[in-house]
Amino acid sequence: MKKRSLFAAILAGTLLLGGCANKTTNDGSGNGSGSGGSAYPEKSVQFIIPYAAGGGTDTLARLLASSMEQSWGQSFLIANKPGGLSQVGLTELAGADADGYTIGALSNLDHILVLFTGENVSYDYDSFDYLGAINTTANVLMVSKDSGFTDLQEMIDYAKEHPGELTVAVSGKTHVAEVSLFEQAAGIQLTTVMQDGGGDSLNAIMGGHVDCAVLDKNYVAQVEGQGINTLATFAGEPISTIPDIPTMKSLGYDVATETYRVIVAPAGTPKEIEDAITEKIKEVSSTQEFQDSMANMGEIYRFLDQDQVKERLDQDYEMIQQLLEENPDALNR
Amino acid sequence: MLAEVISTVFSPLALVFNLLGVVLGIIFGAMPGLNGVVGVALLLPLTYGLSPSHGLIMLSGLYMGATYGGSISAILLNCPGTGEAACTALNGSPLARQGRAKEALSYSVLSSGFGGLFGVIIMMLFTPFLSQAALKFGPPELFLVCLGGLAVVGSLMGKSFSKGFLSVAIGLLLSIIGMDAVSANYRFTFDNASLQAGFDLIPVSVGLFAIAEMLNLICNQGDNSIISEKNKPFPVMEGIIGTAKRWKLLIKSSIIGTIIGILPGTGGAIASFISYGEAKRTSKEADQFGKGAVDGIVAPESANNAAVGGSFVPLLSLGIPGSATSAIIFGALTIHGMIPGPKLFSEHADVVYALMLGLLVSTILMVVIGLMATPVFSKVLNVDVKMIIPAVLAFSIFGAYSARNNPFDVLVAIVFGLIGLLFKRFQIPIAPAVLGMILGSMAEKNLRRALTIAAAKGSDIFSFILLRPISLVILVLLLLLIYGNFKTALRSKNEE
Repeated sequence: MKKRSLFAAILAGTLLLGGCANKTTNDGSGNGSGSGGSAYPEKSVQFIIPYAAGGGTDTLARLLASSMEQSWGQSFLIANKPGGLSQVGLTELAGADADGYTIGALSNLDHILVLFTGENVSYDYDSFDYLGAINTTANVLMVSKDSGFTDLQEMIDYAKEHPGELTVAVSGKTHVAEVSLFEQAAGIQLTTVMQDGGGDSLNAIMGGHVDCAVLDKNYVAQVEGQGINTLATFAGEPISTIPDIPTMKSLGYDVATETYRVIVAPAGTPKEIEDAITEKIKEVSSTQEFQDSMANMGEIYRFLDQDQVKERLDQDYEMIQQLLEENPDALNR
Repeated sequence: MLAEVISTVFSPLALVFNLLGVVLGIIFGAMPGLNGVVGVALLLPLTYGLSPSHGLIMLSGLYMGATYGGSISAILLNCPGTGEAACTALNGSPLARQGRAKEALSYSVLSSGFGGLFGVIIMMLFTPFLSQAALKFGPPELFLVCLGGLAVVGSLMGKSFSKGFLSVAIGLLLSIIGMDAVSANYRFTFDNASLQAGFDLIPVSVGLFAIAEMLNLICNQGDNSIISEKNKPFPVMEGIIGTAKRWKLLIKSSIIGTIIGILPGTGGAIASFISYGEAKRTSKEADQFGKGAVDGIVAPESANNAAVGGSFVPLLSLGIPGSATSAIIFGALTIHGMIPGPKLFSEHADVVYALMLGLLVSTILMVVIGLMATPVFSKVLNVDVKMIIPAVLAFSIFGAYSARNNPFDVLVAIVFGLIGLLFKRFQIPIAPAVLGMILGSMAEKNLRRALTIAAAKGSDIFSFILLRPISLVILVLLLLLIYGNFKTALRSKNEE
């Protein structure tokens, strides 16, 4: 109970229209942890979320922002700027003053895919400094009741004999990239059917309107006992919340994608401020309370510092680059 | 367990949260540019600290209240606060101008109440069955439902065919701009970064409805208040009797509303448009539609509130939200570790039934508040327009901005305000444009999904649609609807 009310106190502060402002005042606590002698933050910080309120990046960023706010005693004003697979919000962030008072969050693969396939993208990979990440999540491949597939091999065998016949519900370019990577690894051809979001894909697969669907791992619990089989996860390593679902890699198909949310600042932000932010992210996210909140949301905690997150992103960048080199139309389907 | 649920729902604290939700909902609904989606999103963080039952009762009460609240500004100011209320404005506003605002408001709240109760009761009784039925609606079926929605344009267009079609065509065209929802490529963005995200419905409809109406008031100088006539009194009993007399229309509209609410991705706005078209086709006062027909308020208002209960059906039983608002309520469930789906009913039955019973209480609270507040609301009409115009404009701009926190949307709202003023000057109806915008992208996405699936299965789209029993039934209904609407439109044209 105590945990819940504390959480509420944090989140109550995020109450303001569309999340456009966030004015929780800190009652005296905070500032206990000095950030390397730096006076940052001296005023409120704008936190740009390039997605609509309520999505995965948004929920996680709000949790993080309210914890940082509590700890630092300065407001973190959430601004949702959705559109264009995060391009709209990131355009604004890239153009903001690099003084540490405008930061943002992004989702790894969406960001990289925009860089490769977006139109009139005014920023590039180096327009941001990547400060850290706190979660990891993965998508899974599900098949409908009518399809009759019980394991990945059955599905692949069928797809080999019937190229293009199996339909896959996807939502967003990240899923499209994952399907393309899987096709490449398994030597098959599928037909993607774009949906508006996870709920739509779930409806399509449960209604049997499509044969397969790419969905977030959290949907596995939701379809339990309804005849929907989850064949594999796209993640490189097994996912702790769904231990029974094999990875594609373990089944012999070289696909390893994961989704994580990255905290970013415009490139050129003073190094000591960036370090202070990374340090603070690590500090607030390592508390039991924070991790309990994450677990409640079905999120898996994994902290990455600046170097680690850049390394991961570089790998993702190369993966997409390679995919497009082998098949320039892989994302255009 | 029943006793436990009843004591939860009727505990003083739960009633206070319920009342708070309903009142905030009515306010959010009535403000142009704000709606239930914004209200629920705003209140969501507050509910994290409440018990799941209390939080859900408050949010769903807000949803119910907001669905009715839109009609208040639609009737009084001709500025529908939500897409759901666009049809209500067509008859509510003329009634208000005849001094019959209290009558219009009473019918609105009473039919909203009926629709709300109907939808919730259907949800309570038939959720498992209906959710399985809803799953049968795939892309081809949803495409045909969208076409059904577009078919009612005949009922909305007023005097001129060509102007009605022009309006709906503009709406459809607007829905194309931005990122193509299927291939994620850009269309008609003219290399403009702001256009890449497309037009949001809120700034466009706020501009076309609210800002245009205020600009129109400014142009019609001389009047100090919106109506010159005195507000006529309207006893509550008369409203109750009048509503009861329309039981057939209420039931029909509520059924339409509940069904549309259950279908994924639809929502109250489409429900109210379809039931409005259906009411006009069959109503005895069909010739009064657009000039102040009570049936024209009763039908959309009962339908959009019935859609509230409907939208909870797939949400609770399958975890698939039936509308944008219930998608946010989904978040309220999962934050407490409750996963919507069949297990929700066995593992968290107390919360589910508290939510259902709470919604019934919300609906009753909404009717009581609505009836009590009707005399107060109708006083708005006597307020000096010099006070009303700046207030409505301020809320409109605020609402347009808050849709996506984007200053570009403020510009969109203002430009569409001017376009709306032109519409009014040339007597082009506005509602078809909004209908086109709501349905355009939905129809397109579902058609293209259907085409993709048909092609993958080596079938052509016609046999794909005709071989699915449900699509075949919808297709027949659709043809009847088009025929009926065409006849109605032709008849009213001949009478002119």
